[in-house]
Amino acid sequence: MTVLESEQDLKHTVVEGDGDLGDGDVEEVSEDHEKKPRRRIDLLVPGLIITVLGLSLILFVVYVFAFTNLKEARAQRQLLNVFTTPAGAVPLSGQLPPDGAPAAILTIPSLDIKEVVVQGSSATQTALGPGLMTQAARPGTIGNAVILGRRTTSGAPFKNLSNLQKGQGFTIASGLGSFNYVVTRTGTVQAGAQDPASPVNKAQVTLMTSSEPYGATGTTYVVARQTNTPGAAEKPKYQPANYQRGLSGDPAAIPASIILGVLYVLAIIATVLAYRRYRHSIWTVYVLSTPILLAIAFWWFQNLYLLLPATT
Amino acid sequence: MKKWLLCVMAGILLVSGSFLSSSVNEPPPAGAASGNLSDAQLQAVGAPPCPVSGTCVAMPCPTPLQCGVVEAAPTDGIGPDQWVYLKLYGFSPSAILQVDYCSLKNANPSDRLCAFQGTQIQAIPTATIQTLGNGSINYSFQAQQNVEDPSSVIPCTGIGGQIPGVAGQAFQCLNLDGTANPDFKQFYCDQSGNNNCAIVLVNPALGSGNGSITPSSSNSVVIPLTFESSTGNCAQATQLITEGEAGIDLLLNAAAMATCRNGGAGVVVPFNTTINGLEALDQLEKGAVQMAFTDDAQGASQQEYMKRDGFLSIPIALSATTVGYRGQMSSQGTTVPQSGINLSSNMVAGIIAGVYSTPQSTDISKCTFGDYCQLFSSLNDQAGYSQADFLGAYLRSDTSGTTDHTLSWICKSPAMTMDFAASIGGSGIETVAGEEILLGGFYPGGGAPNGCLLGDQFPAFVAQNQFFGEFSTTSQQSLKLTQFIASCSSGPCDGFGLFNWAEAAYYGLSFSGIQNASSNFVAPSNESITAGVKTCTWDGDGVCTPDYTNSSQADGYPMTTVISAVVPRNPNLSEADKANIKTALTSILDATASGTSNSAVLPTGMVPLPDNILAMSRDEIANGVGNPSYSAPNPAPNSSSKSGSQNSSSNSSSRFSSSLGSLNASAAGAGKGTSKPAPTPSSSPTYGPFTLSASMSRLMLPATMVAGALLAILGAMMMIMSAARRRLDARVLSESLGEETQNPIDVGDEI
Repeated sequence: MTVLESEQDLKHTVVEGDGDLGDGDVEEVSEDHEKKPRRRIDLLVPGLIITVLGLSLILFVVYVFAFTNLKEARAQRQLLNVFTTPAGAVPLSGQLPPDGAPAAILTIPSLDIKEVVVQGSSATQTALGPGLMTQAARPGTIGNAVILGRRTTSGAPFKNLSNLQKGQGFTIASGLGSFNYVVTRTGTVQAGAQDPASPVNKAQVTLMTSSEPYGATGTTYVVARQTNTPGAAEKPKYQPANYQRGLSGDPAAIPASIILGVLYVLAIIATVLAYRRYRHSIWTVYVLSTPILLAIAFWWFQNLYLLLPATT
Repeated sequence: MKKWLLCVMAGILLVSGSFLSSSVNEPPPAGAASGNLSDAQLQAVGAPPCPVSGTCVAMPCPTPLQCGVVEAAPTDGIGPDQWVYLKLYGFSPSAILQVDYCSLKNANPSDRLCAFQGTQIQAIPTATIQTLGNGSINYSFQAQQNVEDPSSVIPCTGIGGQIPGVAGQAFQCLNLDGTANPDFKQFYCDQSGNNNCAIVLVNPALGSGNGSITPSSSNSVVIPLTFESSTGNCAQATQLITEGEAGIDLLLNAAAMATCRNGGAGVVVPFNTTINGLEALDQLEKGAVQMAFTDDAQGASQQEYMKRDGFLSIPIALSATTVGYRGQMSSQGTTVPQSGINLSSNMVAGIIAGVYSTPQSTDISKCTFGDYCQLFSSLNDQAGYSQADFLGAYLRSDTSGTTDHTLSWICKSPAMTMDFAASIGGSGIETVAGEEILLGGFYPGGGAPNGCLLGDQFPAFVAQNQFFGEFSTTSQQSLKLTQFIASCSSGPCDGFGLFNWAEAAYYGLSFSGIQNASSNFVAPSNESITAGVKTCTWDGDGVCTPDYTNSSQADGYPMTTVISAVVPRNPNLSEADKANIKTALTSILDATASGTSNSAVLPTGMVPLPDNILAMSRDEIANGVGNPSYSAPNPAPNSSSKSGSQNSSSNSSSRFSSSLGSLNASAAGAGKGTSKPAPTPSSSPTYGPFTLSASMSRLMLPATMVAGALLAILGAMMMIMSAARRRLDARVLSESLGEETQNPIDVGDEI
């Protein structure tokens, strides 16, 4: 805001003789004074735009590392409440919950983890907590049940997943029952290797997160064998899509990200124009425009965030 | 005169009638057990005929038989710590009864000492039971032999006793100064006439009606027990009272006693029955004994001996491997004995693997009335009663035929649909492989062998819960089951163990109905065992290998076993040894075979051989002992076997080689679990492995961070450059106009 005010003050200097300089006016004066036909491009406006853009991206990073944690914590409380409300009858009935609904409670004592697992493993679902891959077995049944969790953002529930040791146990409670698991294998695989989420004919669960905090090309996984008697359940018929396997973002967020990005830019332009048009009512413009800008920005960030890999 | 005589006679008749009437209505004296009820009397209250060697008596009652009858068996010639089954009929629904173990030394029922304190042997000396809604209940109660030694100076060797319901008789063995207390209340139970003991059943609602649990002639019934003699009442016989692996001790003892009663010299069987079948074969191989008994000659480990040494297996009786249990269920807060449990092979796998600690834990499958349901609970539901909250398992840690049979059954029996209890309705189907359950339970940390878990010994494992443990003898298993039930304070519970049927019966266990290949749940009985053995494949060594996938016997018990005597076919066997072996085995068969006068003496859990198998055994005895070229004939498909064995050859002279091929194929299949049906489609993955792939979105966050920082810096630089140029322009403008201007630097700084 200081920049814009200064810009306007600059114009006033030249045109009105009060000491302000305006960019176009400066050019004209300059041309009139030096009698040169060339036009110099002033870097103020492009610099302003680039700075705003850069600051927006930095603000996005702040959003990713700060606000997603708050959102995940809030989502966890809401999801946990589902188990204790009439709506809990759905997840506790044993039926397959819809994507985004609470599917189980994961308790890993050695990592001090007690998280509500969300049905679905795209970035949209893992933003709420560890996500249970829908196109895989269900915990408690024969097959490879896969749970993806974020390593860096959204509370980073699987930040310390690699610390799980062989022989350590954990529990998954779902609508099918409470199941105990013992870790049998841990490791990291890079792209091109067999995905640890691949199906097996044993009752096991695979916990997965990205192998690196940022820009990971691989997956850190923990395989645990179920020690309870496994039950039977329908198996999915289709292989999970890339965006459900942890190393991709949610493509469903692309249109919204584009639209909101454009909207954000338009909002910035409109704000600039408003400041210029109503330069004597700067505070009014500020009060009216800032919440809108921030709302659009956070809305945009929210969708932009979903383009990040689901396990980041 | 005539009128006078008639009056006198009428008076006599009236008095007689009154007397008879009053005597009929008068309660019978305590000790109603003096005479067994007739089958007709038992039938009147819906009870079956009185068991052999049992006692059937009626509770004292103003109206005979209307206060309930008790069938107890065995009560004659029982072992030192044998259990007695009590079956109650015709009682009031939910009647609360007291069961005591009392001395009969005192003639007055109200002054008799009864055991009141649990011991290592008799964990539950007194019990309170409650009848079910139909007025019946089954319960098993442990007797305890405690032989009095008058020459002993050691105090406190008897059973601590007190009068039930009478306060102030705390157990006190010694005086404070350490001297024996002559008032110490203790009693002995042995076969001498001076120490008779009995099970006493008290119904506090009878008699005075004041709810007293003190036995009296009007509220209790006495069931006297007699213990077996150390010589089996036959001085010449070798008495075998040691514990064997598969009830062999019980069988041979019965055979000895039967022979004795027939006036014979008794069966002298100088063989060690305290060892298990595998060790017995090992001793036979080493020449330490001349005969070995086993119930698992078809087991892989024992087959090594059979083949290596050319041993011959001679069946002497049929039996079964059972899933015995002590259990409880509850109704309105009251715990009553569990009445009946059915188990599929997977359920047994879950229980013995220690991962099935509650009925609700993980037994999930497809049901007709929903996608998921608890099979165990639905299968065993009993209207009005809550099932056990906890399940325990107590296994054999050593090699045992029961282990081999059970693992083979689990690994080979197919998963089938099961009809639920009538109170639930519908049906369900298991889609899980028993192999998975076994391996998951016994190898929770990985390292499981390939294929299903087979063999005659469980792998070393760490118990995963407190209701699970290993023991080396059936008596220890039974004791642990008893203690487990007694300690279930937080709710009803069921404790399970794998037992030979005869051993389980000796220890008073209940028997689970297990699912056969026809999807029926069958409990062990003489009929189901005889049907079950028809699924056997017999080889030239006289060994039966049961086919757990054979569904031809709808009522057959799946884990039928053949108790056999293994003898050498070594030609170097002396004629005297041959004769001894033949005599001993012939005596056993004569004493126990169906149709003989002594077959009734077989202990519960042992079934006489069907005629076709008996004929095979006699042929083996006559021709196979010490004969290396002998091959046992397949049992002829006579009336007792024609419908069962798909492998029974019509050619009774089918010989060694073809049978051997059959056996090898079966063993190989067992090792790899290939007999297990393929998993149902729902348990199979519908797509294969896939590779991990990364996307460019992984670069988004670091790129955003870098780009944001660069753009911010770049933008700032551009604005600074712009400001600097403006400042320069302003200065130029100022100089050219020659007048004072505001300091442009201030403008730039502000920017």
